[in-house]
Amino acid sequence: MSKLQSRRQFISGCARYSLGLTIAGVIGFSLTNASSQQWLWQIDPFKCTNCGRCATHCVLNPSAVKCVHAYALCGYCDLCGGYLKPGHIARNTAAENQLCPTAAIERKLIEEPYYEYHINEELCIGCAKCVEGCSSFGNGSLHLQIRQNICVNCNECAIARVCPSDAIKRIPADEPYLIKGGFEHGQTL
Amino acid sequence: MSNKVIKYILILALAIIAAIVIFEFVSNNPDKRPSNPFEFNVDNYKAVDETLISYKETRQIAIKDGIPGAIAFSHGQLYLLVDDYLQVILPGGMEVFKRKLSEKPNCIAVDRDGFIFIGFENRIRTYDKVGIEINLSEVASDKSHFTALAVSDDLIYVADAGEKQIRVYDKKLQQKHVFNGESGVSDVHGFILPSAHFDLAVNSDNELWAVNPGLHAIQNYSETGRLRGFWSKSSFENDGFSGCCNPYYIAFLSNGSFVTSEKGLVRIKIHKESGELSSVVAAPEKFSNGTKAPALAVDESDNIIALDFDRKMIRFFEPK
Amino acid sequence: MVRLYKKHIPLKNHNNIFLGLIFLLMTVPTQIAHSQQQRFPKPEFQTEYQIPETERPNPRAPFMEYLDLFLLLAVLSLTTWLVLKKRSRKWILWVSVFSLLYFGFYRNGCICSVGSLQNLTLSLFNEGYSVSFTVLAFFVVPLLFALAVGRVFCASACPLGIIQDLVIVKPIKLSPWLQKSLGLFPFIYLGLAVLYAATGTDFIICRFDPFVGIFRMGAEFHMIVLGISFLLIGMFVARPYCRFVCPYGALLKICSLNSKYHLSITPKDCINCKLCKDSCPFDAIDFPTDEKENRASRKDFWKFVFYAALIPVLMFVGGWAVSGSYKLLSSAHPDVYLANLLVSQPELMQNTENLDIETFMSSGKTLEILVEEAKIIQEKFRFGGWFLGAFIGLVIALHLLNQVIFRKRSIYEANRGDCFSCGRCMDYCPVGKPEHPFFKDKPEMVVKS
Repeated sequence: MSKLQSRRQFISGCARYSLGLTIAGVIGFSLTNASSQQWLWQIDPFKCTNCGRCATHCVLNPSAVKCVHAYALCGYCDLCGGYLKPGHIARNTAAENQLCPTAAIERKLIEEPYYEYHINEELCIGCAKCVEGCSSFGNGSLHLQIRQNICVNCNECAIARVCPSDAIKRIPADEPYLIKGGFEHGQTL
Repeated sequence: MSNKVIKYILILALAIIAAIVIFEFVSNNPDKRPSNPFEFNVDNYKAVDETLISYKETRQIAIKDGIPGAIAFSHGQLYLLVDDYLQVILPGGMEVFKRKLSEKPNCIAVDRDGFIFIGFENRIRTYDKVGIEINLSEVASDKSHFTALAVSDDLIYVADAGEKQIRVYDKKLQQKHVFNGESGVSDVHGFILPSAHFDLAVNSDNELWAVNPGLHAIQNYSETGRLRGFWSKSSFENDGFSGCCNPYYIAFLSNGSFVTSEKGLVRIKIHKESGELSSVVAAPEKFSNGTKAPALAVDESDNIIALDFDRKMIRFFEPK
Repeated sequence: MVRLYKKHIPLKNHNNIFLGLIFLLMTVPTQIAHSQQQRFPKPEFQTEYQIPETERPNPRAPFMEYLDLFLLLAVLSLTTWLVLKKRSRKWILWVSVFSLLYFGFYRNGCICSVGSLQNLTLSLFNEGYSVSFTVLAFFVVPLLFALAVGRVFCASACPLGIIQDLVIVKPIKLSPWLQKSLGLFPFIYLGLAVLYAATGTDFIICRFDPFVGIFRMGAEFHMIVLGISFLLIGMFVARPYCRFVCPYGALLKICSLNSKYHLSITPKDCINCKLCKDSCPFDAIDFPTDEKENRASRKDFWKFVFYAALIPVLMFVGGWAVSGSYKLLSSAHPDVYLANLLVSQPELMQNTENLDIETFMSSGKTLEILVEEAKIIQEKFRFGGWFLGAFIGLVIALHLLNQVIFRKRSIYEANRGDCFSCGRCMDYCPVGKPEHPFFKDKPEMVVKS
């Protein structure tokens, strides 16, 4: 082996070890801040302003954001602000009376005068129109959540980037939902 | 394929990439983003004919030191619940006194003699004119959630949203009656409370009127709970009530007309005793979008005083 | 309150119950208010109707992330063996197709090592976010492999690289100066990505990832066009993203340059048959230096001194320039942009058509607070700009310096920095294959090899 080559190898070896040390340093430093915690994106329903971007900006089509129903908060009203279009002609299930653009809300009479509203997530596009109707005229039991079985968990959520109220945050994966009326920890509001 | 063609393709593709990157970077800025294609729009119902509006807003008092909860007017004074304080102010804004209460209050009423009744989660306390506590009731029930209080000459009516009942107390805070509004008539259900809110008021003839929000109805009951009359009207137009919890607050003018405030389509209106729309006090344009319904009080000259929770101010409306 | 929660009880202090209790006590008043607001009289059903629970479909099981990591390790180890021992392009290709299908189309391109450097950066600069072990491993493992055996990650694990590798049709040679100059961009991109991730502004690598839309089979139209344009270029300029854009590639390059082992074109000694000369679509094969170059190199000593002296100068100038353009850089942050917009055009505050402005106005936050926050972010950019600029200056200076460092070479060998270890060249080498047509009229060479 020539002198030149061994010098090159020596330099390269030095560089290799210093790079290795650097990487080890990065690992060590990161480990102080790393955990087995994995992260998911979720909507804070109390911050959400129902802007409609969840329907338009998700990388999936239809969006991984769906309207969910916190039944425990629902008034089971006949006159549901989230189900019926403002100025509806009749309180029935006819399409022209429905607020939802995809007719994804299913209405079922439980007993007079109470109706159950159920979201058909196959149809829901996450536009939050009903959420706005429900929160302004009703109790706000309808709200948006990212469906974690659909979400591809992008490294950076495309909706979060355009969310005007900063309502989409990374949350620990062991509590994947922020359903209204039952956050396990004293989160938000 | 010749190298020249390849070169053109490459340059074209590079130009496209550059254009897209710049487009993506710029088009996403907050002033370039599209508006909401799924907007929930009630603008059609917000327009109110100017001739219908019989009141004008004359002034406001801002509430700076807390979250307002309820308002009442009596003896030329405004009684306010802010956080866990009772605040009494003159209509001009000058503070008469301010007292810390022992728990978080929900509702307030003042009787002819100036005694102050404050409803808490599940009990009432009586205070004298200067805010000294002089009496308290038993706890009504664990489920109770008092949301409104009204006093007649000798009774106190409490709207208990938790139990969906109206409780009737005498001035010594002994419970006299309790009823749930069921009349026995098949088409009139008891109180349907889609949300944790239930309002009632007493008019100058000492009649109790309660809101049945699930029916968009205002109902008159005797002190024992007999339904004596009611009216209701569901409509997004001005002549009725919209959504599932309206009217949210009611109050009375001296002539017995109803003053109502609504959430969703936030507005204050006056309905005649028969229920027919009389005039509009404040059109939806007067309120911020998506606000809660304003709480109401009426002074001795029929000025309407609204407590705007969103803007945290007391707003005065006087007849035009 | 979420933020507060994190500040008071960082995730690593799970055991700090005392702090937790204090925090809980502090939150009691708001929680009571909250429960009062939510407490309401449920309908009293006469029928036996039970109020249903809101469905909560589960996310992908967390252990699956460890499966991803395991597969990454398996792919990298297998490729290492294929590159160094088995020397088979064909098998490398098959492994790479597997990775494309799994990490690309099945896992939808997230998380990838390329993007993970932003997560790492964010976790180092943002106390509310801690990087998960798997993400950290995704970042580190390919670098360690590169340090040991070269860029095997690029060869057969990175879906972004593989999709480009599969569309190479007629690679053209780029002139060395163009290739070297364009090769600077990944470092600049790397610096920018770190700055934007550190300031919590954006994950630009993910945002401008041209291929992720293809993996997901759906994205905004223009992002799909971006991906297709890259693939179109990739037909003629092989792996354009890897060579001239990829910021993670810049890190891999540094590691690979100093790797312990590396792919070699020939299994034994090079016989200078020149067969591999045009085999590399990435121009990553260094040719033997000729006599003329050898002689010219001696005159470069003073140039070397000059460029070496240029390093601190360029670093300072770079830092000054980039830090000075902090306003431009920080305007990518939505809060800064909005603050600038509302300060310059206050009349927009009445604009109810604009969702972002309307949302801000109804949030109850004052413009002063927004401007204050924007200023803090801008300061971060000004500070970080010095590091970014100095880094860019350093990279340019070293690049110039590298031009005058002459390395004498007598054989054809893979450029350790640029080589993706794809193994194409190995197929061209006749060494060790006596039946190769190259030896037909030169039987004496067989013995040599």
